[in-house]
Amino acid sequence: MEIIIVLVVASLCVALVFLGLFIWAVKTGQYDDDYSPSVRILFDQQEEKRKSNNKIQNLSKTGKQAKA
Amino acid sequence: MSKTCYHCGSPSQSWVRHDDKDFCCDGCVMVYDILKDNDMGAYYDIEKAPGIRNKKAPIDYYDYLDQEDIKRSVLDFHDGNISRIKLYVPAIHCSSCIWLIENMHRLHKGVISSTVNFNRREAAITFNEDELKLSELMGLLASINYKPHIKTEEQKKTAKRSKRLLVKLGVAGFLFGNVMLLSFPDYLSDDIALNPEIIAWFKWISVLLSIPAMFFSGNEYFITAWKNIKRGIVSIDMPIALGIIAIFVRSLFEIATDNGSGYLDSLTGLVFFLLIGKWYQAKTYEALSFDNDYSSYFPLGITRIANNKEEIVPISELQTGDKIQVRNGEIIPADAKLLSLGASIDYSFITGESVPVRKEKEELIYAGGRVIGNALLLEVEKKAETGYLAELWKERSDAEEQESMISNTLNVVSKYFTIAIILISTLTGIYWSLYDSSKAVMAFTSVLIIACPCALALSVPFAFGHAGRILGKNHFYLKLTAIIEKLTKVDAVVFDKTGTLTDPDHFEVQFEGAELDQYTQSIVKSLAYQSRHPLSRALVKHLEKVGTFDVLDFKEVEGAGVEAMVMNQYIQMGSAQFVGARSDAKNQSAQVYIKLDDKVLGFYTIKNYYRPNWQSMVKTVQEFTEVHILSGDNDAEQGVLNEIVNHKDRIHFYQTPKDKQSYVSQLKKQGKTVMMVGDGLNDVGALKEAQVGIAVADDVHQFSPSSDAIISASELMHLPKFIRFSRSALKIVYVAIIISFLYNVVGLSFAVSGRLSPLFAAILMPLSSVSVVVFTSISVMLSGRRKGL
Repeated sequence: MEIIIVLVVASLCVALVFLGLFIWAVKTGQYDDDYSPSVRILFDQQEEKRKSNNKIQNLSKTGKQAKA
Repeated sequence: MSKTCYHCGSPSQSWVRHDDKDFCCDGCVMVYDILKDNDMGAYYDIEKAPGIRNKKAPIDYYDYLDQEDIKRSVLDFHDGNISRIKLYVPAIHCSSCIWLIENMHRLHKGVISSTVNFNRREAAITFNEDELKLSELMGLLASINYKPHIKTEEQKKTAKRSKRLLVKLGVAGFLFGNVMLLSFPDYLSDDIALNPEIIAWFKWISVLLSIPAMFFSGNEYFITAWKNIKRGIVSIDMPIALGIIAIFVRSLFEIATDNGSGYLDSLTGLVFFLLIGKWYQAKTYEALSFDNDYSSYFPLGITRIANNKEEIVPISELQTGDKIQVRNGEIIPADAKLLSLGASIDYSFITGESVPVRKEKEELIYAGGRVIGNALLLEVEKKAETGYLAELWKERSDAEEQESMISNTLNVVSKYFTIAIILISTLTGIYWSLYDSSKAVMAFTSVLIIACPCALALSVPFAFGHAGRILGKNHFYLKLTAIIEKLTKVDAVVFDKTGTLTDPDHFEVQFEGAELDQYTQSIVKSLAYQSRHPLSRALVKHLEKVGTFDVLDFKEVEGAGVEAMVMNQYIQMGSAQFVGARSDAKNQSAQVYIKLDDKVLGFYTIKNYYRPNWQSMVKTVQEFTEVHILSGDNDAEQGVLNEIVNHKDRIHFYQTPKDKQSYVSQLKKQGKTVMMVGDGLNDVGALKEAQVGIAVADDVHQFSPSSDAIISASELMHLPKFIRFSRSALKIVYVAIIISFLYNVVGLSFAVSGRLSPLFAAILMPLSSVSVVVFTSISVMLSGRRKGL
């Protein structure tokens, strides 16, 4: 039965590791902002500058067509 | 669908056509061009019309930031030429904003990286100082209408505090879970019980785990309880702290004497639940918080002239007698004497009146005025912190601020609650010591344990927190959730007229007389263009379609009118007396007569443009409270207002900021709970003085005067609805308090009779907390939905 005490201590240590990870996450600011990362991941990366610029033009054209 | 600006999405009456798109103003076109030139069109892909319209566009100078010691105090990190700064950018409001600010390196190669913290409206920017000076960085952000602000100390502190709370919550959760598992064997029936030796081990591990729960996670309850005792205040923290101590001591005693299993799972659970409540409160506070005082309007530094040398010094270092130079568009930071020959000062910032005031040499100029025209030389009379503006803005004392944090009802309830608990526990202890002394200590501590007002402490933060969020969604932003409670008690509402009930950017203009042809209109507009009087500006806006001519011999007679030569014609514009016309209308002050070459052509009637539905709003408010109206303007609108407000003596004109403030304090002396609704800095004194100060802002992203709440101008008509909603939120709090009392009565009846078992406590305490939280959250949500919020 004494093995249970060893098990309990071991499981506590594992839990402590996770607690440590949580504290680390808080300290490094991972809980600071729960909105922008979700948006940031959707942003297009570089390189398609031209494309996006063309899109402005197209958007306005389609907008005009919709109005007409 | 109506047309909206491609950049900012606001509707407009005049359109600027540019690049095949419609814009509301040149400011928006400018930003659009900057973005387009830098291939940053994606800004418009992410959200529709994400831009911010910068209506007022005051010129700001950031030069002072390049001063070495100022720079060092604001930079977060500085190594060689690489610097990092965290700026507060209140204009951040959507995902396009995040994209734009995080792609600043495309606008200027001096920017190395930038990261947005959306919740805090904060941008952390790393930049290369060799290529981009700090002042230029600020200017760059301002040029795309994301006006940056240096973070205040208070903002920095709040960020740290919320992190610490999260760590505490995590630790408490960890301890709670483990202690609960460890106390499990206690609850098993005897047939499958573990070896008692092992159980003893478990208990001692639990004791070890409870110590950080008390002294790390729950330490604030002891600290505040102790502080309040010292100040002679009974607060909810006291029974909580007492309960925690009672549980721990009792459990320790039981475990040490092997006399029972203790209540340590309840203890850690209690701390965990209480911290959840605290965390939610902090989160609401962060979501709602807006921090601004007059100093955020002011530059941090100013040009001081000493020994014929210009130097930039922080405003806080200004001394009486210093000579300072203030340039066009800058704000005068301290009460000062004018040394230059003469100056025009725009006090719209303070008084709301947008006509610039003429000041002569040697005259005293109050802080807060914006310089128009040439740079001025001034001699400081009073330090910035002791000047007129600072006086208006006097910060509330710390104690007052702290008290307003906590709900008043909760304070009163917990006061009686604490006294009752201490009484009951003592009586129980006495009773048992007479009849069965072995049970006395146990019964005494049982009462303290079960009475620990966890549910009570959670009811208010959750009810008001939800209500605050619902109001925030409807563009009514509260500084503190406790303001909801104050809202319900309001029995006098004071409205400022100009800018609050009326829309400062619109006027109703009508011409009476033979209609003017386009040529004459152009002449009128040319003259009006020269003057900064609000009536002239209203005319310019009204005549926006026609062109202008050159103006010669322009003369402005204060309080009367303007005159000049335009296209070889002599034109006069102003009051009836000024042009020599006879007037029979009652309210002359809002009429502008036009006289062209000795012939009076007629007059323009310029009326304030009231916000839509203002009448029904004021009338609804009047149904349950009295309404007062104060105006800094002349009494031209008396007639309109008399129809709405029941008592004529509650409408006052020609009110200075100080008048408004003393009017509010007068009402307070009559025992009224006053709500002040105002817009400009001219109302700041009154907003502070009133129990509830609400600032009306056309654009809530922009800074507005310090107040308890900010309401978006377009939502002002819903004010009665908001008040009613806060009343039902308070009722929900009352019900929640009753529910938690019921739990307490049940628990106490067990505790008093000496039959409280650890298992019962372990079930009852979380159950009461969770049910109160669920009840308040759901009922506040439902009530909001029923009220159409």
